[in-house]
Amino acid sequence: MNLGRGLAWGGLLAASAVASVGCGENVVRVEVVLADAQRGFACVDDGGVPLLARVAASGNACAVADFVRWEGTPSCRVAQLRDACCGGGCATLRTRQQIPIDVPTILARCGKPEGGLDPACAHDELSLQLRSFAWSDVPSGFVSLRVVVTDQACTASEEPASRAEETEEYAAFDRASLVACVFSCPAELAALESPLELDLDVLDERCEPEVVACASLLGSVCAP
Amino acid sequence: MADAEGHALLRARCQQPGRWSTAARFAKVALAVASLVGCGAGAPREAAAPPPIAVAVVGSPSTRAPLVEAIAELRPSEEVRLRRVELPADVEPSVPDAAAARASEAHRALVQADAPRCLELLEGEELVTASLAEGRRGTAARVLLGRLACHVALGNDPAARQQARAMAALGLELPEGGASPAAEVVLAEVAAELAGAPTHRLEVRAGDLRASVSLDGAAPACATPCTLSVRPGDHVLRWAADGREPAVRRIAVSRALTIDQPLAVASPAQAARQWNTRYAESPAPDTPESVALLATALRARTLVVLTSTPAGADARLVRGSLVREGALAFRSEHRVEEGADFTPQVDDLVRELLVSGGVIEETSLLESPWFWITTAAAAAAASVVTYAILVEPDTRVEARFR
Repeated sequence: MNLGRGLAWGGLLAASAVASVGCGENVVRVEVVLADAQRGFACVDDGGVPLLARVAASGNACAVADFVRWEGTPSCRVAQLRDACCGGGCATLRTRQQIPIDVPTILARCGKPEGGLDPACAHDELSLQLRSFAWSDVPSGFVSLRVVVTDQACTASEEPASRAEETEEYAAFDRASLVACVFSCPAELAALESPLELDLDVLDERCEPEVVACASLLGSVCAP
Repeated sequence: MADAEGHALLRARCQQPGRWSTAARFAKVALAVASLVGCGAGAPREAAAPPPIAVAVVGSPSTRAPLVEAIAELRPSEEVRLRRVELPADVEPSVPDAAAARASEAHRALVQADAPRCLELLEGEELVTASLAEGRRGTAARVLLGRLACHVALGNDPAARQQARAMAALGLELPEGGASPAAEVVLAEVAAELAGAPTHRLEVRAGDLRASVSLDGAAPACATPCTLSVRPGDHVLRWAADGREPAVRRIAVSRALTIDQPLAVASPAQAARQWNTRYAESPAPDTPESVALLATALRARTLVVLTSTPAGADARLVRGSLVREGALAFRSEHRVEEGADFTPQVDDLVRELLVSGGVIEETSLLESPWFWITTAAAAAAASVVTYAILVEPDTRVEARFR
């Protein structure tokens, strides 16, 4: 055996392998989209008043995006997710982002003469405005992205901490201020082969309870 | 409403995330191992070169040629350096027979009626002793007979008889040309006088050595320890043994004697003379005695001696002997088919001799540092490759709205 040649090949192989491991970083780019139905942005209360109308008086609206990490792989129904959270099966990660939403523009462009919103129009307007959200390092594991729109002005935005750091410092949303809420099913985003869809699981347009449940995934509404 | 089985948005696959910290540690370890391997391969140890081992090829020139070629093609190794050495030259000196010349000159002086000059030329016992030591009995006889004739010419009968007795004791025959009538008369009278004289036992030793013993310049008579039967008078004994300096002693025997003569170790030159005389042309030049003597002649503490002999019609036997510290340590032989290259068999044979003779150690594969270096390199490479295959690199996920 040619010892030198063997060592050279072995070293080259090892160096190549080490280099491939040491230098490699797999970057996965995930597109976030709003589901076509856009039911989470078109809910009305029990009186038939669109939740979006709540921002008309205040003139403010804020979209708040959070990542929620799940233990295990719960189903994607909002009630079950809330139950999982109340059992300690979820944790909000310190990755909150907030952007102001131009609700009057949405109402002006998408409001129906008879009241309510044109879902397709609202979808397009929200998609346009939500493009300001961007995440460069999404937390690993099974997570959900939730976007809640309130009629409150955005608070001072804090610098996102480690993507893996959990937090309980985020205050629960005021249910009277909720305008809309959509979320994604728990997923390992690095393995996702399609765009990450945000939606809300509702029966019809009277879906304020679902919006509340969606916004309450942090456990603040777990009490009976 | 979404179906009961789950949300329509759920499109996730279960997959464990990569752990970059573990990968980094592993990569560091692998790099460390790789660097160690690299250092080991790139900076070989400074090892002292082993002393060369002499290799001599004996036998006839035709049988030596392929062995010499094979040795030249052997590749040196880290543990053995072979150096082929030429056989010792035959440096047997050509010693002129000075005693014979003196005897001839004395004879001329006697013819010229110059008896005193005759005796003067033949004075000194070393003339006879040296002649007998060199096996020149005829010369010794000429010297003694010349003295006898000189004394007869001078009318010194007792001295003439003394020379005649010396010749009789040594058993020397009359040289060619005979003697003068007067000298022959003296010789005859002395012969008759000593006819019934008893012989004496002469026990000869050479310490613990077995040496050949020559008496009065004749062919070797026995090997020590041995006993000779000698006539009374002066005699010359010569001891000779392989690897020893020969010894010569002149002794006066009038009774039974024991003579023990230690022999000094032969010089390389003397050993070369002995080897060329006794073994160089021998059909079996690699006998234990021969190779031991050759080692001394070549001044080699360790000597490999190779020769080859026919092994049937279509093969030869390559025979090897290892001599260490002047003694045969190991012998072996390998068969080489007719027309085959001698080199592999010579290589194997030499290595076998050196290993079996204790010159070098049999290197186990497990004892070889290169084995472990290579194994470590292969293991490191395999580990890293396996890791690289099985463990995906860290994944960073970027997300943004469409």
